[in-house]
Amino acid sequence: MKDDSALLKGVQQFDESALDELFDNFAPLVYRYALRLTGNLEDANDVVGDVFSELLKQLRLGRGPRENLRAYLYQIAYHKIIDMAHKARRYTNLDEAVRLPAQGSLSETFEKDSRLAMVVDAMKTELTDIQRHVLSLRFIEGLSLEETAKVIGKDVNNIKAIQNRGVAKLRQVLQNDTEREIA
Amino acid sequence: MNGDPIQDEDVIALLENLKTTGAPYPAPMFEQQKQAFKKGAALLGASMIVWSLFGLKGTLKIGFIENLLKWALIGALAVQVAVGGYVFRKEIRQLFLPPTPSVILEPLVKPFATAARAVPIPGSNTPEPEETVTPLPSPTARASLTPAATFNTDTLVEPSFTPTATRGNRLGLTSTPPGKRDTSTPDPTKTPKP
Repeated sequence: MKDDSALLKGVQQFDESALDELFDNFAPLVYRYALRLTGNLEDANDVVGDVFSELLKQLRLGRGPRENLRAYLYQIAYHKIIDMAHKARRYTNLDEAVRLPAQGSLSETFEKDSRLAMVVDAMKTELTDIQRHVLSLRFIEGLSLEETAKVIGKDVNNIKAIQNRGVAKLRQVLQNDTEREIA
Repeated sequence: MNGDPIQDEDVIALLENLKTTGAPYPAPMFEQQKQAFKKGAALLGASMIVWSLFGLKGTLKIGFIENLLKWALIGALAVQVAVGGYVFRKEIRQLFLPPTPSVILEPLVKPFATAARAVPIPGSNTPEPEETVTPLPSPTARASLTPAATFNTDTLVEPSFTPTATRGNRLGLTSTPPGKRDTSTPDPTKTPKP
């Protein structure tokens, strides 16, 4: 696998193997990110199509990514998902998305772990859109603070604050549940 | 759960568990999207090559077409001028050459050309040109030139014009058709004005 800059160079030159590698590496990531936030297979597939077609469009105009391919692709995906949500008002069905039968043992784990189910539910009901996106990008997709800031289009400190507020809210939900159980 | 207060790290650990959850990209959808992407990239790559040939990057510019048309017109005009110049090269050369004295004098001398004759210069050795005399035709030859047919002049009636009326200062004229002699007598009261 080529490093990011070599891959980026190949993509900018429309090198076939680089384009293959780009799609193979990033399409599944974008798909899962979209699936988690839209909860719909078709919508997630549409997001992937839109993201890669937008990438080609930007390359044609001589723009496109300059350094971080992954952050760039997530950024397009993020905007597509936001647009999609605004249009259809179909907000996240995160629980449905993560419950989709695929990774056998993990979905079973999810079924067994009530706390995980609670977190997923709280993400859907308690968090704002921006908090949900930031937590998803940071801890599920594994992006750094800088990358998340680039995707969302805010500065790092702002992202850090949004992340802290989101985590605090989830913690509060879990704490309340624990206290209810004890009581 | 053992009643310990939940930390942020616990929440983050739970979120990180979600990394591997969720369905993978279904193979038919993946392949379909990949083919569409590669097709788009191939088209874009081809168009980029064409544009680079023209030395243009980015979008089509109207100025380019205008420029092309302009130069095509200029080229066509230049070819026309070149062909015309080659076909009429003699005429064009004469236009630009300085006129010779003979060209200037010729039209002036021409009317007197029959009367002009060389005057012998006394003392010169040039022989006097011989005068060519055209002999008159002989009487028989002249007779042969006379037309054989004779015309009876009495039978010929010339059309005559008679003044009829005056209209203002103008004199009205009526014509008698040829072959009929005008027998009418002129009105003595009306004198034709000159």
